[in-house]
Amino acid sequence: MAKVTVNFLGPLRLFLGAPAATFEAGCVAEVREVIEKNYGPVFQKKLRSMGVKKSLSLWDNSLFLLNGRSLKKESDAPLKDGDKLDLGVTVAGG
Amino acid sequence: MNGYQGKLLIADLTTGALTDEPLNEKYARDFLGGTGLAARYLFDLVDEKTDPLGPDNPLILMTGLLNGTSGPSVSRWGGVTKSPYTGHYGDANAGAWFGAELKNAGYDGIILKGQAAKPVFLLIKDGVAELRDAADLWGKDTTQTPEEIKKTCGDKRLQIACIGPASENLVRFGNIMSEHGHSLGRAGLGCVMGSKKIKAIAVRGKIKMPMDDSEKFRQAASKAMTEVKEAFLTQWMHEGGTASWVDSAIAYGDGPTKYYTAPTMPEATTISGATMAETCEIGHTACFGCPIRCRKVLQIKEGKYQYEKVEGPEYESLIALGAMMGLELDMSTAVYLNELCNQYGFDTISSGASAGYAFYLYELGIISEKDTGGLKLTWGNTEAAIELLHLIGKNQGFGAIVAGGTRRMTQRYGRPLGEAVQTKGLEIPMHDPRAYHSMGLVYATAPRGADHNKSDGYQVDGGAGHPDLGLDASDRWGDEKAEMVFKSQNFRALTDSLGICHFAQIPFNMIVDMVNTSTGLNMDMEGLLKAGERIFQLQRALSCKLGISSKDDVLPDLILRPIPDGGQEGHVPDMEKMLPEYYKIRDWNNISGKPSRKRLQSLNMPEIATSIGAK
Ligand code: SF4
Repeated sequence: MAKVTVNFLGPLRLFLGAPAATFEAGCVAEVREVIEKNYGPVFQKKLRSMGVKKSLSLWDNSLFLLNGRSLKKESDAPLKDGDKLDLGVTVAGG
Repeated sequence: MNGYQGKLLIADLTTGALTDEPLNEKYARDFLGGTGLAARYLFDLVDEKTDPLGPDNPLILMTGLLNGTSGPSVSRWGGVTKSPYTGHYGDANAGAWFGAELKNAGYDGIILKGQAAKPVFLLIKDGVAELRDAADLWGKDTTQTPEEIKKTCGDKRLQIACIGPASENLVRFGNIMSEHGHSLGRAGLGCVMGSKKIKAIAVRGKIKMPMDDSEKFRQAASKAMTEVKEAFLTQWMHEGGTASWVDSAIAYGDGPTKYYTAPTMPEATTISGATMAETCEIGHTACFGCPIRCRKVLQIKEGKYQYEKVEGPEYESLIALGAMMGLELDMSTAVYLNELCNQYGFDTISSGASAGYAFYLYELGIISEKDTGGLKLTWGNTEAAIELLHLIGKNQGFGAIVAGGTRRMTQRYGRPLGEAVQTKGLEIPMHDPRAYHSMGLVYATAPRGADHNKSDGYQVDGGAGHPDLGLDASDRWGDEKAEMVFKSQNFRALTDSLGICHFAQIPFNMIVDMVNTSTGLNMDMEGLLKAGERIFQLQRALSCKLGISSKDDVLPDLILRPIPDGGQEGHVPDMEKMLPEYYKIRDWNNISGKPSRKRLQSLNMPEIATSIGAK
């Protein structure tokens, strides 16, 4: 098990209601599960409050970066202490 | 022809003659609207000898095909000219309400020719155009100008596109400002207005546009509106705006810092869109008919520069006017810098990058306070940056040198051209090709010079893919990009001409329905993508006509130096692999860079093929 902090980048910080969260996890797939459990309802509530009727998945629209490197959607890459994990939106803008 | 007002206004500013010209139906069918249609007209009107600041250089403003309709986020209109900044083809694209209102005023576009003897502005209301004296407006900024015009004309609902003092002073990257901070920002279109002494264009009207099948169009637009309202991209653009990309740019190494030599500075998060939303956002504005409403309205109560109500800066401006010069900005100063550029009316990207180059040269000891007129351009010196931006707007002293851009600065200071981070004379925007390799190819091949909006490169490489184009998400550091860039450039050439905003995720089949029900054209997705390719190849042919060749399709050396730390992890795009593959797909000649005659003919442009196509 590693202790990792996940940064919620840009708009995700607004959708999940926090800039970052720290978890104990062995791999990225486990982090995804904990985020879904702890923040999934916050994400859905935020979208409802914006008038979205469709069911939108956080995971269809976001991407993990492990130490700066984009991971595939279903990645279960192992984690070690000190790893840098970011969760960002998949569509760039500007 | 349905879907158009069917006429252009030709304004000869030398004689003062204003004439209506019927829209060329073949051009309209083939190039649709916006920058595509405008470029087709420009092709006939300029050549290598045209002086960009002389009376013979036209400035063409064109509405997007769907402007003024009930489609979602179809507000984009465009302008083209021979650029006084780069010396070849220049185009720019903007949102807001001007395009829609110009259509409602009865015109598909305006061609400005000649040069007025004294300042004028053009007023178009319900199909009637007149030139009015603008002596009292000359010298006014881009907020005062529309306010004064509305007052003088007694009409608060006029939509106005104007220039600020920078373009009056012939700053080569002067822009045309529309309202709510929207601008035809790049390639110096405002400078051409300045050379013609036309301060502003004000439009308003209620002239209905003939539609092929209004009821079917309404249904198609309504479906598209529902899709856009429900898309995730809509929610994030509304909540965060483009400015919220700052945080991702830090993680990806996407935001150029200290003139492209350092990892994206983490301090930039203090001015990100998320920070705006959490601390100072008081509302949003929208372009015509846009449910996304991505533009932020801020109230700045803390810091040196305070505002009751001000437009929030966009991502590009935040990085160009901040990290590029190593500035650690608070929100107040970031907003002030953005306002400074907008009120003078010049391009935040080229000015920020050129100022960044001045800082770089100063840090290297190539230039000193003797050259800069006393400015100490050390990384992070915000006061010096502010002073420099003022001098750029006035086109004075050292500011006049920086206003010439990075390429001219290398010549002046005897530096290698590869230090000028531009392509074809236009500075590279704030998506670093070392963070997304496809952007290297996009910048090297964009007809006007570096243009981040002429593809979906960073969207595909950023994990979203592009399902309608059959493009899966790909590795941001891979170099198998030629096919993806080709397809997405064609798609963006199309949407720019239709007037669709990049942030509106309208399924392609619904775009087809809106085009067909408004115009009566019987197009399918393939046909529309072919139109996109036709537009892109035409713009390329026009660049070549104005002197561009394959030797200009290069990335500068400085941006091919790896930055091992931060989100880029030392990656650089492999241009030697990507470019030849891309040339093959485009069918461009390896030396002249011209599209082949055969290809131009197959795209239904026999006259362009004969005039410029490579044998
Ligand atoms: S998303 Fe933003 S830029 Fe695009 S049309 Fe809407 S308000 Fe304008």
